[in-house]
Amino acid sequence: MGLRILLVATHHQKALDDQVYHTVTAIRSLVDTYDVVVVGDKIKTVIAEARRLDGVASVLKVENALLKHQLAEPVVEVLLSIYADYDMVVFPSNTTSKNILPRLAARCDISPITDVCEIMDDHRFKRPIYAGNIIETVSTKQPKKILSIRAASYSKSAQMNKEHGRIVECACPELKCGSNYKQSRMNQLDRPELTAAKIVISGGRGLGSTTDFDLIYQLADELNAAVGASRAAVDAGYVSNDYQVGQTGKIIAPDVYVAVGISGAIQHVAGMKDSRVIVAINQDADAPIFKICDYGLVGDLFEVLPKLVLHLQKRK
Amino acid sequence: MKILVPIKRVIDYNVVVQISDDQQNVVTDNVKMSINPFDEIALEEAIRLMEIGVAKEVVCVSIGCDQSQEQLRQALAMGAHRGQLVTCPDTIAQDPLCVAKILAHIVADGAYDIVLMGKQAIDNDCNQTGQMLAGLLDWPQATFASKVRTIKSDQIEVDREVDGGTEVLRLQCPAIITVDLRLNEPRYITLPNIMQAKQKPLNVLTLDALKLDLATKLSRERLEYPAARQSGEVFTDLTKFLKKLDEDGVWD
Ligand SMILES: Cc1cc2nc3c(=O)[nH]c(=O)nc-3n(C[C@H](O)[C@H](O)[C@H](O)COP(=O)(O)OP(=O)(O)OC[C@H]3O[C@@H](n4cnc5c(N)ncnc54)[C@H](O)[C@@H]3O)c2cc1C
Ligand SMILES: Nc1ncnc2c1ncn2[C@@H]1O[C@H](COP(=O)(O)O)[C@@H](O)[C@H]1O
Repeated sequence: MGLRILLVATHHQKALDDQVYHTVTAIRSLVDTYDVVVVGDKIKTVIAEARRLDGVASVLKVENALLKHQLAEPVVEVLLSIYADYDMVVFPSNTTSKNILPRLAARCDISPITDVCEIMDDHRFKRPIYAGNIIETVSTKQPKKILSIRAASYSKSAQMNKEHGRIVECACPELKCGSNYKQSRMNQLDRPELTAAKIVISGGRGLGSTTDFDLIYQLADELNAAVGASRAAVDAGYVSNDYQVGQTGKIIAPDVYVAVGISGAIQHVAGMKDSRVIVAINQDADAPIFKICDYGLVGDLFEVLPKLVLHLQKRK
Repeated sequence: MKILVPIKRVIDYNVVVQISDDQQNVVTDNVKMSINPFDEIALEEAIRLMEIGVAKEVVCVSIGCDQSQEQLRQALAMGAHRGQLVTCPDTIAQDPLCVAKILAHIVADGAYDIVLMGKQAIDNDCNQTGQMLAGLLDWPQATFASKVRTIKSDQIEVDREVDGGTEVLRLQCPAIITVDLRLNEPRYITLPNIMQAKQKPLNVLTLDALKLDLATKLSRERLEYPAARQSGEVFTDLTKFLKKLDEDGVWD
């Protein structure tokens, strides 16, 4: 029998996380078919979506009220009850999986390989270290492997029209949880999502205030783009933390990334340097961002942005 | 409450890291080393919990080479009560599962209520050790903390930074918390504090003394630089810049 792979499909209650589709592409570089597990509560629509993933054989469904928020402790108990049938357990890399995967790995006594950016074969993988400034090739002889895949490194797989995956209802083991979910404050987005958008406009400390960060939104709206930010902009309170791009924020690779008033610190660049085209606007000609951009403009963003918006409006 | 804060010695975040000639390692000779920035934030939080009377004792532990004493001394100067170093080969210190097993051993020995640690080491960027430790100890965990509040003497509420926003969890201690950058801003160390820290206890053990059976399960084949980006064209004239973007179809 070939390599048996289990994809742990993280989701946000209504739909699969976008990174799942990128992870499918990575998995399909090794195998034609694989199984998916979806863990949660009242996840009918997510299960239906998972059945339409390209190449999926079975969709393992585990439902329980305690699994609703995909907290690490109960989810790990569930995965412990199913992982033994597989040679490889693969997660998309996102905050949900980062919380769960290492806990699972420790319980299985497996050293995982996370944020894989290239699968070389079934036991050799590349992953970025030092904020993506170095790529490490890691190999392992462990018979079972646990991996997470960096979405920015793999293209998105297609969604099939037919729900072809076979549903397998799995019994939920007894669950206990020492942490109690209280609430979430999820930010309502009326723009494309940062990790999925074709164009991203990011603002940095140079924007100077929350009010002036509006200039970024105006440009984004003109281009139907997502909005991102540097850590400095997050720290200054211009935007909330989930906008942060970088080593310790989101890693993205849109078609076009526009950095406005961002100096280009290595920690920021780590999150966006795989973008197809990088555009930078900064008043300091020596800013490091100009060393990695395809198109740069030395200028005052407060003069440039309104003119850029006008220019784009006229083009329509 | 008694709090353990793991402290990892890493290449300072401002250093441009170079690969050694044999492609097996990064160059550390004459390179500035620091406390992993996230660990500094974890320590700051622990000290604040002490200052408001919630924590009674803050212990720092590092796993690594002998020179990690420098980072532990710095942690003591920030306000930790005592330090512990477990010396071991670099391959062990860089392996989250091995480190988690060593930490689990130390925790089991010390009656800790909370382990406050960094969410990620900025060298290997693993983001694993805290969650692994929580798994090994079977303790509840709250990762990526941006706020920590004590509810009762044995209950903690944590705001976590997650992809879509913030999630709030209430944990029953003993528990593991891993911290994000926004939790706090670590204090500066003053000269009197550095002098004082020299008197604080710093215990050094070898890994052998712990009698743990540890083996790394991953091997590094090689290191390489990612493909470099070609730097493009930088304009000073807005009109020319806009024209070029249009011509190249950047927005289409
Ligand atoms: C452990 C660690 C992790 C980190 N992780 C991240 C991360 O994930 N993401 C991240 O972004 N950062 C991260 N950082 C922070 C990072 O090191 C930088 O401090 C940060 O990216 C700087 O943000 P910035 O470019 O907006 O600000 P600055 O570096 O202050 O740059 C502001 C820029 O705006 C320009 N400017 C100012 N006014 C104008 C104007 N009117 N018109 C045009 N340009 C103007 C200036 O010339 C300057 O280049 C991390 C740091 C550490 C220590
Ligand atoms: N060798 C080490 N010594 C002390 N603490 C460590 C060590 N390795 C990892 N840690 C802790 O684990 C956190 C996460 O590290 P990592 O999982 O390697 O990204 C760090 O921020 C430290 O708090």
